[in-house]
Amino acid sequence: MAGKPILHYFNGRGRMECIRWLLAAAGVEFEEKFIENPNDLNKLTNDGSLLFQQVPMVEIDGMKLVQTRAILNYIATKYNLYGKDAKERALIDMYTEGVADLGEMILLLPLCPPNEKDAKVASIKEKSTNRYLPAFEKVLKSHGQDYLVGNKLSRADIQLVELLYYVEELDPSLLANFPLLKALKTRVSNLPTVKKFLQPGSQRKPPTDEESLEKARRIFKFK
Amino acid sequence: MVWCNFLQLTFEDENVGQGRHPRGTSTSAMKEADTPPTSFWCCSVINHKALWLLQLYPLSIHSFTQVERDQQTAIMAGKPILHYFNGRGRMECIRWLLAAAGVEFEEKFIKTPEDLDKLTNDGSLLFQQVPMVEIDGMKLVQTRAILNYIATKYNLYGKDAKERALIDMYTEGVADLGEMILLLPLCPPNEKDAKVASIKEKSTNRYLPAFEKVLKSHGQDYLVGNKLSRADIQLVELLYYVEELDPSLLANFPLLKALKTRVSNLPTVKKFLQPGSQRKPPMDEKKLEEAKNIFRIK
Repeated sequence: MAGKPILHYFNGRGRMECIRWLLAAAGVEFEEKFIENPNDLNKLTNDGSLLFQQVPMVEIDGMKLVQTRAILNYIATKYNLYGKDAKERALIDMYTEGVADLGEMILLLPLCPPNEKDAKVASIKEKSTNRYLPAFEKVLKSHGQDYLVGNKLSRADIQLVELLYYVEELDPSLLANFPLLKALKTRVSNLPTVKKFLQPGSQRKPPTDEESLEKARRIFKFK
Repeated sequence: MVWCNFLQLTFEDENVGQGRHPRGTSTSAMKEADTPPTSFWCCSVINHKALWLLQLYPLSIHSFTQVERDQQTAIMAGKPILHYFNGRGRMECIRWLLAAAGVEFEEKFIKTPEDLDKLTNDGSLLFQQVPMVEIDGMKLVQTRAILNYIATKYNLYGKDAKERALIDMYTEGVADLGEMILLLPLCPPNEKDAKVASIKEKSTNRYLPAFEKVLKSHGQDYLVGNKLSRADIQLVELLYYVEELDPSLLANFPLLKALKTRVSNLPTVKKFLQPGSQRKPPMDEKKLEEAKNIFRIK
């Protein structure tokens, strides 16, 4: 039963991208079935595949998993990227939840009304600089190891490095004063699986442009 | 004058029992007593609890307040300590889970922005935010990290990765609806009716049917693995909030109602549901203002 996981989502980053990163970093090949119009989404809903009528949905090991965190937790456990015990898992969870909080702000930026956008961007930059990046830099400094938890690659490193790419996309200068984070980004990016995922032609998705955003709005029916 | 610790303990217990707290708030509770309250001289009852604590704390000139003693007991007994303001917010699901698991816990309430600053400045808050729970030598932040740890520790997280996946799916759905309800008090008045309507609609058409269907599909007493898990506890907590919003919302979901009754009748949960427990009431206007002040929300 070594079927590849199948990812159901639209052809863009959204809430599926962190799952693509984790699978790719774990060296797991996966298929994608893109939702191109509202009908595709209705079809999935109507055949009972979506517990809460929402995507992301990942078919894996005979299950149709929904909810991003449920999917990430399962993949991380399956591929030994979730620490060695409950205490390591607690640290990993703390860090990944912080990553998710900042990531959520960046994710929702394209949906922000134009007149509020500058303020939102400023807020994201401020939180990156004063809250999130310093916290992770401090963790790395505290133990001086190559990875955030347990001296071993975990989902926390992968999810943080993904976020660092988005922070850099927003404003490269934001990473300037965080040498250990920059080193982690380089180190993780050079892992063979990640390196491959970062190259053109991989399943990694580009930033959401206007066209993609309009398509997503139509599919998911939000304003 | 040298304060006899034993006598101070006795006095404090007397006071607390009569609804008078010598220190008022938790922030001032950490200071030492300055002058002996006059009623000390009237105190003659020897309190057995005080005698027990006397064995732990030899006579000293430091006088402990009730709050300090509770915290010392908590630390020594290994009780988790919850840091939050005195309201539901993002800590309530953690209180529910601990209570349902039969775990005693202490609470240190944040009453002012300065209390929050103090926690931030002494490095206790990884992202300068609460909830924060001191447990097993860690200072855990982030609600989900805390819930995951507690669920694992008390065997409320399923027996393997697949059960965990189901539990996670269900609890994330609960969290999505719970988040809408949580943020309702912060909604501008002109948007509130629309928001309430949206919550009711999503409850009726998306979330409640999904959970009812799960229970129907296997006909078992609990959502996952025929055994109580965090999914049942967190869902039942949510059902109470849905009911608070509008009792008729649960009308067409007999299996959910049965689950709610079943879980509510578990001894630990039953106790938590009774008045005087650490369960917090719905947010009122006053509480909302307090929270906005503490967390510096406009």
